[in-house]
Amino acid sequence: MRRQVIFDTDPSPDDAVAFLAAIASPDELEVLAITTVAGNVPVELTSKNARKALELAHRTDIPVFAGATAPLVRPLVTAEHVHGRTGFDGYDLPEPATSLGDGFAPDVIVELVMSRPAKAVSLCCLAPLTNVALAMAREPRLASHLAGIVLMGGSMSEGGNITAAAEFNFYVDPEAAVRVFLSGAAITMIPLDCTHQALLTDQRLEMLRSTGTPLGTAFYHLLEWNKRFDRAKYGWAGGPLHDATVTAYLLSPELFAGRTVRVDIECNSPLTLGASVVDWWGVSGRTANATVLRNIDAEGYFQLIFARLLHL
Amino acid sequence: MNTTRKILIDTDTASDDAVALIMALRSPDVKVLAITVVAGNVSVEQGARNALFTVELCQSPVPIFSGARAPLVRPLEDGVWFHGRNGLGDHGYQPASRLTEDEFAVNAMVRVIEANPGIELITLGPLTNLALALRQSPQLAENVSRCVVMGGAPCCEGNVTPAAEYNFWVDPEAARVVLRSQLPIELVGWQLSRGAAVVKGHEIDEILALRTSFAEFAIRANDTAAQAYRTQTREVGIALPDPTAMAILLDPALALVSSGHFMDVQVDSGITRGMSVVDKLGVAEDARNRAAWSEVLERGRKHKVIWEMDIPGWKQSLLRTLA
Repeated sequence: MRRQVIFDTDPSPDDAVAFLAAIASPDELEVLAITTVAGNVPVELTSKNARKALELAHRTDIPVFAGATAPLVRPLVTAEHVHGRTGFDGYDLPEPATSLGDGFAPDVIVELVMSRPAKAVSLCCLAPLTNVALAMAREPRLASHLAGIVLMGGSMSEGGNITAAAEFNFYVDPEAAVRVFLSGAAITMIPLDCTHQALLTDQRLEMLRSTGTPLGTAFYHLLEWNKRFDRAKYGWAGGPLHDATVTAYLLSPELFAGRTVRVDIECNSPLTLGASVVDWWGVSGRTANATVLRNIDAEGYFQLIFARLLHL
Repeated sequence: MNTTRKILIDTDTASDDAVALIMALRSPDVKVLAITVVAGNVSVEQGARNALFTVELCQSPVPIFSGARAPLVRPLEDGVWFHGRNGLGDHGYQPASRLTEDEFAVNAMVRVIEANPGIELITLGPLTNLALALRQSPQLAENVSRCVVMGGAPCCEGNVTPAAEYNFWVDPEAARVVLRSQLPIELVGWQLSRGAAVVKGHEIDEILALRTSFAEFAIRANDTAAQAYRTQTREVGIALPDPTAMAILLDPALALVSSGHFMDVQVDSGITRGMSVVDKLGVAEDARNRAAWSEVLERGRKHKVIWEMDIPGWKQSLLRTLA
């Protein structure tokens, strides 16, 4: 069955691979729109990067809508130390020639979801959850009208990547994450525990370069530059390709293993702000609100995602 | 009298909000460009019904927009124990013939403010709509000349907890966003409507003697709230926090004593949830406080806190408006 999806994203190269691989899978997925939010870099830049990626892939038929400039409550924290000043450092793509769509991303999400039958549209969330929380503030029926939300965020037993306790997307807007996790929507959460198994090794990067196509070459350079930070920081054979796990799950859920459990997000403690507390053993007695994917078949993941991406 | 002052009212319309709306709509000094409704005292749907009823009573064409149905992060905890189930003392007021506009209140707020530089804002409810608008349009504050906020319990006890006033307590995260913005806030805490500012028995008689539909509605819609206020404070009469804020918006000279301070709101869920913290002595910038206050110092500004109001002036303003 073909599913309709909206990607909510703060594009660094990871995010772009995620939505381009979905666009390249028309038998399974119809990408209705890309909505951008402040996160890895400010929203002006994430909105540019989304359009740069679509233009590179000659898919300017997919509209891009800009959303929140800052988290719900807190000032924006960005990650230029990882993603570079533009979020797309490492390869010079031309400035986008296409315009942004007319409309504020949370309004567009509400419109696209509510104008379709219940359970028709899924949200693919690759960034802080600000736009989704703002959309839920506008339309309380949104959560139950969605087919589901598949999101990259949080961490269970892997520790944090922006503080000792928290993963970046949840840390940047913990209040938005709380709102989304309490919304009643069917949530699939892909934490660092999963994405840290999916390392972009030299051999896997080579799959991109060896194509010799403009798209393969561009993403080789973008990802090679982007993952230098992780390689140096963690000493791994490559950086994790986090965000495309969301697309891979929609295409081939059998690549993942997880459990449906209770997840809550810390909003108060300065020490553990944004930490996702996953009740893996069901000790809280609280109602389960998310399926947490803890394991991935990394080889199958890269084969799938790069085959789709390079098919564009 | 300058007739070009434009205002926008954000309200969780219940009993005292309704009186404040009448004051603004009947004032010759201001033009109300829009009324935006937020969930608070009552659900946003009921608040919108109450606003529509009040506006129709005033025969005003002002557009009314329905906004946030719940606080930014927390579930709504309404105030029907204070204002009655319908927010207006449960007297079975008939639904208005008008409806709210289609546009979401936050979008309307951004649109109206951006199209009317110099506009004055007044918020009578939780600050959810305004916080959402600030997130949608980061430059919003530049177009606002005054922002009167009815909320908080500056340097005094609260009305829903020992520490906090209802509007700040119910959506503390939104209050924090607003206080940490560049909006030129004038804070009218709930304490200004207490004590001598309470409308007493003989004053209620004086208002009813006006024999207008406004006077009758203002007193009757507040009777449940007056009972609740008596239980809460042992003070007899009608306390009108939102109308005192509106009186100060309409006539800034009613604010007799005020001063500018850095402010913040406690957003944890413990005993001081929603507490308005005013740096009255100016110690926030001291070395020992800098870490805790850094975001307020960097992003916010000093806001005007109003400490004393011209009580006879406030009561004249109320009487004039209901005549």
